[in-house]
Amino acid sequence: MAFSLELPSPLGAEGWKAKIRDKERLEPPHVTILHKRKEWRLGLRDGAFLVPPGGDWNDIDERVRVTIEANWQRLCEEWDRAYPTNRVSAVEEENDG
Amino acid sequence: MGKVVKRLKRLVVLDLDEARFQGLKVRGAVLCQGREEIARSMRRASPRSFWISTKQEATDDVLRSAQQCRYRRGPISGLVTLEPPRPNSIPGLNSCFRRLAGVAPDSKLLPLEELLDVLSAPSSEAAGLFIAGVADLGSQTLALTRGNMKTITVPWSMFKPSGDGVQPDFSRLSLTDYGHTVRLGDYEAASDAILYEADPEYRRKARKRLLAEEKTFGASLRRLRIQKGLSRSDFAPLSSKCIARIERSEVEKPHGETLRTIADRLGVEQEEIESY
Repeated sequence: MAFSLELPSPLGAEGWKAKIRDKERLEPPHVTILHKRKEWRLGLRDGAFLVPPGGDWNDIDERVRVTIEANWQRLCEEWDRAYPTNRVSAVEEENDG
Repeated sequence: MGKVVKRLKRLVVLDLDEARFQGLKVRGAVLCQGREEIARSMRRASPRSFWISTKQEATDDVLRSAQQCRYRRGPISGLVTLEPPRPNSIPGLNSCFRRLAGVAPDSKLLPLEELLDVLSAPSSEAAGLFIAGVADLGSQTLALTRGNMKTITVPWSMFKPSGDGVQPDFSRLSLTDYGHTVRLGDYEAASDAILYEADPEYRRKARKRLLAEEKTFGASLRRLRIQKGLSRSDFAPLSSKCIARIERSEVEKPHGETLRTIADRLGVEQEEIESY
């Protein structure tokens, strides 16, 4: 089931969402931040914005950033639950193997 | 040299409550009420305009007007019908509009506010968002219309159950998040993921933007293998160590039988691998 991070009020009403859906581009693991027509993919391995679509934290409401950072471990766990074949820690595991 | 002015796409919304239309506040959209006004607007309409019909009767009116203008200036860009048109009007609509959305009886569309917002977006942005879709039980395919009104068709088999076992329910199709998400019951799919798998042109553009990422054959192979849910040990008779070395670009790009084995296991053409 898709995971939607609970954002503090009134971010939801303003159209902000942070999701890990059941079908995502698998590599690399990420959380998708949505605001109306705009989206950003934030890599869960290194915290970098993925290209495409790129972007940076200046484009995003500060309260969204704070909530995502406070829930980083939870987001990684949700990704691993949805995509056990490509876990957040998979690069290190593969390179070690 | 003259200044190039980018023209705004014009959206014509038919037969919607005036107060609701005003509340939508969509740039470049006009409201048309009734047969006379539709006919008048159609005579003045740019062939680049998009028409959004909220009722079947309005679709009949727009077809009546469009066919009168059809031979004078060619077909109009697009028509989205919020209520499916009468089946017998579809051939006529097809001849008057370049692209249609929402005409299948079981079509699902974005909520109106989101639909208008996506249609008014620049084509390059709208192309990555889905505005309409229909799931066909007979062929087990999903036809999804993008914000540029082009439709792609994908097999249901593309939607694998999620890690916690949630299955897509195609009888509960809906579109949400301004076209970023296709919802199938409790299951959600990212439009980006669907387009990346189904549309080579979308993939080419996405890859072009991967400025910061690796562009080697090995990196492409790794992305594609993971996307297909395969492990390195799934390429027998090639060993997992061999696949790992190719992915890390420790050996030259494979060719001959090795490349054939890899492509066959991934279910793609050999030359397609590097497009991922």
